[in-house]
Parts: sequence; C-alpha cells; structure tokens
Amino acid sequence: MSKVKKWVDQRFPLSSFIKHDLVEYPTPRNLSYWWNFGFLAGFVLILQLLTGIFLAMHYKPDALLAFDSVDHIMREVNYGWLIRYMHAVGASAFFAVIYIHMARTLYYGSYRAPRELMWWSGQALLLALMATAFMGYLLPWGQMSFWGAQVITGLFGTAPFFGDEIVIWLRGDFAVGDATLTRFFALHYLLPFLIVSIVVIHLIALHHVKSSNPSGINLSAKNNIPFHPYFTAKDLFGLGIFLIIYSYFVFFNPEFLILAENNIPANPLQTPSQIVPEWYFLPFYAILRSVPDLLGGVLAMGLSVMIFATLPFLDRSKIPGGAKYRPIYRVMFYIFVLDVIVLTYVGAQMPTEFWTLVGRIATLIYFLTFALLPFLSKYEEKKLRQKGLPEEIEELIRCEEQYGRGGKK
Amino acid sequence: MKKKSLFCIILLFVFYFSIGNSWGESQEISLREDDIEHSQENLQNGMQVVMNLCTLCHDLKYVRFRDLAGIGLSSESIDKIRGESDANDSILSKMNAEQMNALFGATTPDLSLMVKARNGGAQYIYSLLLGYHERGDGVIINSLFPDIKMPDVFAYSIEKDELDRLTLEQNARDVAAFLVWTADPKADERRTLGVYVMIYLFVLTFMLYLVKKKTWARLNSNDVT
Repeated sequence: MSKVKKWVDQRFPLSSFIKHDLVEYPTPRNLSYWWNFGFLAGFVLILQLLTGIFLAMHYKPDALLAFDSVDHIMREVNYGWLIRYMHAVGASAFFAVIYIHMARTLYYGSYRAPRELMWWSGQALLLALMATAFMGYLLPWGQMSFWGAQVITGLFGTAPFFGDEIVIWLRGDFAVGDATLTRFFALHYLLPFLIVSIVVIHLIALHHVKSSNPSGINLSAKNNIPFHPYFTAKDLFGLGIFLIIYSYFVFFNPEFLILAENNIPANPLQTPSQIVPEWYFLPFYAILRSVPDLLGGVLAMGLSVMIFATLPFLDRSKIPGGAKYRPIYRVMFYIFVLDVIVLTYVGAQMPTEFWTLVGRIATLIYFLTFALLPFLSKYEEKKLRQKGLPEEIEELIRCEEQYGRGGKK
Repeated sequence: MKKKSLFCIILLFVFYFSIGNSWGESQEISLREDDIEHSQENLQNGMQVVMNLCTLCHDLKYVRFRDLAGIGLSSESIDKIRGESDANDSILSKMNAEQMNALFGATTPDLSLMVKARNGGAQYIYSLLLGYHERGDGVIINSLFPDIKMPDVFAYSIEKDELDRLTLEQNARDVAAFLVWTADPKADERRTLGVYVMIYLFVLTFMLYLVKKKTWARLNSNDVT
C-alpha cells in the first residue's frame, strides 16, 4: 500500500493534497452552523447528478413520449419513483441550501475583500443553477412545464432589433415544442458538469483565501483548527439534519412543490388559468410583473439576479465582521430577507390591483437596499468609529488601509 | 444566537406556509369535507364503479390490469375484469376520441393521474361527482364545474331515496379513493420505506451529534476568541 502511495506521490501530489486541503486545512474554529451550507450545496449537487443520470436512462426527450416516460419511471422502473422524487425534491433543496448560503454570506459580509472572486464565482454558479433548473422543469412536459418555458423564452422577444429571432433560436421553433424539449434536455445534462467545474474554481479560491468567520477578523494561528476531524464531524452532523428534512419531503410529501397543473400533459392549445414558476423563481417573477413595461420588467428581473455581484463595490464599510457589529447593515439585511419573502408570496398571487401594489413596493425596497448601501455603509462606519472601536479593530482597519484587505500584518 | 436561530426557523415556517397556502387557494371552490377511507374494500368498490361506469368514456392508460393486484385483487378476479384484454394491457375506454367528441363535444381526460392533476385532489373528485343538481328549469348542472360536459353518471341529482343517496355518496368516495391509488400506486411502499429511512436517519444523526460533541470536546474552550 505504501509502495503504491509512494509511486503515485512521485507523479501526482495526492498525499500532500489530502493532507493540505482535506485534513490539515486550517479552518476558523468559531464557524457556526451557518457555514455548513456550502458543504450541503456540494452534497445536493452530487445527489442531483447521480439521480439525474439514472433518470436519463429511462426518460425520453420527445414531445410525444416525455410525459408518459416520466410516468413509466414512476410506475414501472424499479425504485423509479424514489429516484424521480429525490431529483424533484433535490432541485428545491438545492435552491433552499443555496439561498441560505447566500444569506449567510450577506449577513457576515463574507463577499468583501479578499473574497470577491468567491462571491463572483458563486454568482456564476447561481446563474448556471437557475438555467439548469429552468430547463429541467420543461422535461416532465406537463402544462406548467410547457407554459413556463413558453413565457420565459418569450421574454427574450423584448430584446431590441433581434427579439423574435432570439426567441426562435432559443426554442428551435416558433413555439415551444419538440425541438425545445430536446435541446433543453441536452443542456440540462450538460450544465451540471459546467457547475462542477465552477465549483472547483470556487473551492480553489476558498482554499486560497480561507473561510470567513463570524468575527470577520483573520484569526491567529491558534484559533484555526484542522478541518479534519472537527469540521468533518460538524458537517456530517449538519448533513444528518438536512437529510431528515429532505427525506420527509421525498417520502411523505413529494408532491408538495409540484403544481397540480403539471400532472396534466402539455397542451399548446390550452393556457392554464395562472402561469406560476417554481417557488425559487417567484421573487424574480414578482419583480418582472411589478414593472409596468415588459422590457423594463425583463431588465429589472435580470438586474435583480445580477445585482448581487456588485455588493463588493457597494459595501464600503471597513468595519470587519458581520452584521452583528454593524447595526444599520443588520437592519438592512433583515428588511431585505423579509422583502424577498414578500416578493415570493406576491409572485404566486394573481396580479390583482392589491398584489401588484405590494409587489411594486417590495420591488422598490429590493433595489433601494442595494442603492442605499454605499451611503449607509460609509455613514455607519463613520458613526461607529466616532463612537470608538476597540483599539485592535482600529489597528486592523489602519493596517488594511495601508496594505489592502487580507494583506500581511 | 439562540434567538436568531428561532427567528430564522419562524421565517422558514412563514415561507413554507405562504407557498403552500398561496397555491392551494388559487382555485376558490368549496369542497365536501367528509373523510375518504382508503381500506381495501373501499378501493375495490371504487374500482368496480370505475370499471362499470367511468371507463365507458375515460381511459386509465397508466394503469395495467395486472396492477390491480396492488389493491388486493386475486389473479382470478383480475382475469374476470379484463375479459378479452391482456393482463399487461392498459385500462382503456371502449370509445375513442372521435366518438367522444361527437357525443359530448369534448375529449375525455385520462383518469390515472386525475387526483394529482386537480387542486383539492381526492376531495375534488368526490365533490365533483356529487356536484350535480337540478336547476329551477329542470336542467341539471354541476355547481363545482358549470361547464362540464360529463353527464350526472350517478344520477345523484334526481335520486330522491335517502338510503340510495347514501350509497351513491359512498361510491363517490370510493371512486376518489381508487383514483388516489391509480395516481400514486407506490404511495404505501413509499411511506413504509420512508418510516425505515427516517428511523435510520434519526439514529445516525444522533450518533453524528455525539461524534461531533466528543471531537470538539478535545478543544480547549479558553482559546476561542
């Protein structure tokens, strides 16, 4: 065994990689359970890949066969119901985990220097995940699959000059049809591997800058502990909790997030009474509907997703640590989270006068949070420093002003 | 920290119910609320009604005759039900789409997934079957679905005998119960497996908790900043 190890190590840095990046990898000892969600997201990604590959063995990407083949998986394939429900629930679990992961990053300001590239690779992951989920949702070929794809691809028609051409290019036809289904299937199979490669970039960046931690200060060596066994143990316990919640949905409430409409085969001649996207798209859908002009709505929706990337620029505060030490930022964080929940709710409602109004106010608050951040964060820093910060934190800020954040002390 | 976690959990619950409710309420209909029983007798009675009445017009194309063993039918009884058809054949109506169109001006939807395909599920089916009543001018309409093309197959709207009405109501509940089964025949298997999985996960997670606690106990807590 040791001979094999030696042979490999002479040719590939296997042992040193395991030692350096898995076992001894220094991790801040004060990480809370909110830091579990990156690992959970990686776990769900692998779960989705595995279940997806087995589903693809039985699924038929053909407008005439797709709906029946999903039912074939549910009834005839051995444990097909389990694999399909794991995949369907897994998609929602993926977004739940990712949204919590993002909320943690927001709360603790982990997107700030020197972790901007982590945040931006995370933004790329979010986009890839959304695209994958959107295309995956077409595959069961139910009513909502079809009409959801019809509406969302139709949004590209608002693009100036080439709108109609883009829509046809995306659909492969004048309307969503067999051509759309086959290309969505191909891309739904491809994109997860793209996600895996961005995850690798995300992790390489992580292991370079190391984890942020609730205090926001780079900890001294004695407060970093090896990843194994401390965080392997902590992550696995978190995984157990996750699996309990996940399994509840898979085994006891698998259709909770599947709309009744989507158990009706796609029918291009009959529009459902209300077209609703999956829950994880509802806040963005609500923003889309809140803007009176369609092109404006599309732009607002795109911006609402992409705007996260600007946070490292918008947050100008040098106060280290999370919202715990930043009273104004903390209030903004909670308002933002509540606002997103309101938008999610509004996104699922019929666009009556009342709900449109609520949606518009929530949309305004959504963008105002970002727009006000540069000023409020600077103001907050000034106030806090006037009130007097502990000397070590003042020194840390001075250090950073001199050498740049994350620089040598 | 405790308070914050509690706050988050409450938020998650608000989230959960906001989604669940908003979808449930999107169709505002009042459904009958009687309990639908799912015993094997109920399912078999429901199956009889479906085979005698519903399959005159409706398909259950995702259900094969042999699948009926799942509600406790012996292979002899299945043979009796399927008649000339093969045990591997889907349960299909004798009429085709054109005939249905000519008769009612609509194609009949497949029933296998009907419970999953309607908000309200089994209660919707049950309420729909008994939703027929005679309007003042003698026309029979369905209060749940006024535009429905399906006639009052149970003749519930004109049945005056109290006892017969009760039988019809029981039949409607059993049809709904049977359609719950056709929509999700693996439900029992799923829930049984789910119980084992949950027990396993609770034990495993508890042990992982102990491992975590024991591992972290090695650290000297004084060092924490």
